[in-house]
Amino acid sequence: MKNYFYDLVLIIKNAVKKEERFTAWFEAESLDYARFNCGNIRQAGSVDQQYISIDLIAGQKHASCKLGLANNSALDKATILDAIKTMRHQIAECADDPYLMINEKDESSEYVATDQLQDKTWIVQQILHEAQGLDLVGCYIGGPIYRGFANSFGQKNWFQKSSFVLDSSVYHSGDKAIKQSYSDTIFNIEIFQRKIEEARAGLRLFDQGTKTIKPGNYRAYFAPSAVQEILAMLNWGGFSKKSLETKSSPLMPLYNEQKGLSKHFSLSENISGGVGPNFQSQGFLKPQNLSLIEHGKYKNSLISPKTAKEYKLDHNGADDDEVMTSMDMAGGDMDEKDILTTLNDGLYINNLWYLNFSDRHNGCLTGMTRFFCYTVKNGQREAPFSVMRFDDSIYRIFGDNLRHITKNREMLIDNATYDERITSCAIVPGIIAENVRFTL
Amino acid sequence: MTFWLDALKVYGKKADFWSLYTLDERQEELTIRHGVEEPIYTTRDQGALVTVMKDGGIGYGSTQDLSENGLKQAFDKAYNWAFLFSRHSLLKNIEMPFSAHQGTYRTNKESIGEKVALSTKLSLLKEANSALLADDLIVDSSASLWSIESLSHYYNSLGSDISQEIYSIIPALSATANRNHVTQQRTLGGMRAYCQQGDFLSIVGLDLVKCAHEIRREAIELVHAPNCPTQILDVLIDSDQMMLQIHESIGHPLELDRILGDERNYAGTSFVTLDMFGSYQYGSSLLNVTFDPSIRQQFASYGYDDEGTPATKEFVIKDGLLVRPLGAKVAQKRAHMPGVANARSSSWNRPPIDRMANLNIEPGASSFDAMLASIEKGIYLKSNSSWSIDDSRNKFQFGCEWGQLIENGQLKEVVRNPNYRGISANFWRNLHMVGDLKTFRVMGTPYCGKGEPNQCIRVGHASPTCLFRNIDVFGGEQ
Repeated sequence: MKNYFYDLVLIIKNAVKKEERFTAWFEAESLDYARFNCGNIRQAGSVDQQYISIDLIAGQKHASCKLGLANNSALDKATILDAIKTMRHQIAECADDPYLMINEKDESSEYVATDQLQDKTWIVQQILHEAQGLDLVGCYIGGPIYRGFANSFGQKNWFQKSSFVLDSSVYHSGDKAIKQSYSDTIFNIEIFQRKIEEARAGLRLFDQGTKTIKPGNYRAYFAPSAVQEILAMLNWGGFSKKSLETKSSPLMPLYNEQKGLSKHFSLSENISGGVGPNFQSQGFLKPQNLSLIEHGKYKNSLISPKTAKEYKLDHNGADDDEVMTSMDMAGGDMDEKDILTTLNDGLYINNLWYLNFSDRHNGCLTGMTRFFCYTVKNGQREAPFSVMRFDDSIYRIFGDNLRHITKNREMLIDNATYDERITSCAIVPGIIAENVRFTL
Repeated sequence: MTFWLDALKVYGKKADFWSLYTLDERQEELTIRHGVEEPIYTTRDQGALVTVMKDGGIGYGSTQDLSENGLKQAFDKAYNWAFLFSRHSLLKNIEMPFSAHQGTYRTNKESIGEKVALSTKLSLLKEANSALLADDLIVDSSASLWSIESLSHYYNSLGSDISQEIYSIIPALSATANRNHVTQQRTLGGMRAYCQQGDFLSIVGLDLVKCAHEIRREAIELVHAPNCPTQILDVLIDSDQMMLQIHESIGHPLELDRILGDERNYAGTSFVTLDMFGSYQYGSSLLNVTFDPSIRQQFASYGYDDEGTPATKEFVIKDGLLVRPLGAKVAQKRAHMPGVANARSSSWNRPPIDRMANLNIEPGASSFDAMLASIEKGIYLKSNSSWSIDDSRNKFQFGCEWGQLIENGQLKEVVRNPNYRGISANFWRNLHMVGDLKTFRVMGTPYCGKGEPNQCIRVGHASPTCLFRNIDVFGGEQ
């Protein structure tokens, strides 16, 4: 695939005129998927897709296009040449872009991970075999992901990795289920068997029936996957320099030092510990680690080259959307074995769902509990509870009301597959917070 | 085209059934952000989805290589999935769900004009953006036009031959105002709600420049407005928020694949169960909801779904009674009940699943003034800004960009950050008045997410303004 991309780059290079420049961003994957319901297969298939995004530049004017490719040199050459012709016409009609920024330094790089992923048929057979007798629902997705960049200055970047994500839930009844995610570069049957055993054990806890809790304030433990959901909301413009400059970030009060977070709360964009490429779509390299919140204080924001040009700043290799792709929250000092006793009386929340802002500009958010969440009394697991809505502020949850952070952290791979597989992840601990507001 | 078909007709004989869906889609996005023209962005995507059934198993192969060899490879991948896992297929005991149909569909010809010059479109956006940013309190603004041309073909081994040409246009405006520590955003109807089928000429009537002036004024008014109070109020909901209300608390819970459990790991399940159809009172007797692919300018109108089933208007809720799920042929066979033609895929690289398309509330008999006059203490809500609902689609909380208090039948003070919450199963029973045709607007959203692998799809929602009694309303942080 790498040579194919570089052949396409050569086609572009030969097609552009002397006074023109270009950047090219390549995204491709071979995706195998199997959707499960009731421990059987609902849908299964394979996708081969390749896209190239070309930015054609003439002076300060430019136009961009994204093209689907057939992985057939003759056909793709025609597609690319046709697109370049169209972009030339567009450039003739468009205005200068004062925020255009091109990487003129050659920052070439290459990362190719050894492909160890087993045959899809074998993996899906293992899943079906282990899930016998269980109401397993979810999806296996696996295969190689490719990302590439090249420009007219000769820079070339390549990223290639094969991996899988098995995102699934094992249902007891109604909306009661044990949710699990298993992701790696090789499918280890023993790990999967262990997960299934844990799910079987978890299901037994639903046998006693569920409890309905009343709206009110509760002490709550948020497991890493729930913490990741909350942090994902901060990632929605929270660290974007453009959002900060346009006063739209939910972290404006923190940025302005009107409000603070707990001194135990630190967050960074840790590319070196992530699962994606270290270059962005315009060929700028990302720093290995960028501290965003340090001991409760705003430290840095994510600045794309475009934003940097607009606000006369230095960029830090962020993509245009200025979101974290390798979120890393610092751990604390609570041992995993002590979670229940430390929580003592409260709610143990494994999963949250469908979060949104109830007051974006003050960092207030709402969302639902989902799957396996239960009450804890005197440090003992009591009973699963029916889904509840919370509505609280990040300044309380990660601020005054933050009590404990686990030592252990979990690596959670983003399983989103809108249009293509995402190369994002989060490394997060669990937390205990006081007086979390549950409303419905 | 015939070339592909001839090859598949021979090659596909080992399958019990095969179909070929091809999509050729072109998009163009033009944006003026806060006085600066962004680079023109276009996309071109072509691909094919081959579906194969064998011994009750179903498999899919997606490719961008539309040569005979490319399609054969996609067929082989689909066949292998279907054949190897037929024993584990959820469809192994159902009757053949697919049939043969021939036909064409094209976005209403009258709304497709001659090609409009790029400069004409950019000039309109510049004028609209100038109107949006014309105040020192406006810290960000944007005016954009997104147009989509989708050409699709569907063939199957039973003889289907369907072609559809769909042209869509999605205008968007937004203004962000800031005063001291208060920031508020006002947009054109929320999340690109004015999306529709047609082209540039179809949106001329919208008068984007006039809308831009209004959006700027309202954004500024909001940063001066007090926070929305916390109260139980009557709520008068504009079409551009009804759209979201229909989508989340009627559309999703009625999707038959959710009811059958396919989405429990991701998009969620439903509080609706199969036994409720025909007997469950979903809302007050004023509630009439239709799956309606026949409103030609509506965003998700089509002649056939992506499994080749002809699409017709059907009531899903009639006089408040739940009558029909949003389920396509496969789900209908699994559930043994009639549904609608709503098997849709987001593109050639995803398999069709049960989706909303156009899901509308039929207009009622009340004028806006009559609804307003009937309210002693209430709030008028416009344009969605926040949406959250549980995985069974019951407990919801929605936020709006614009709130205006109502007292004794009169619109009063504007308030910021209005939110309301409720439970779907109760909420629709509080529907007290339904607006007439004058309050009815045809809207939609390009962003409905569902499915594993994930699929983002375009949906349409048309609704009159509606009045609900006794709703839990509240504002933002004090």
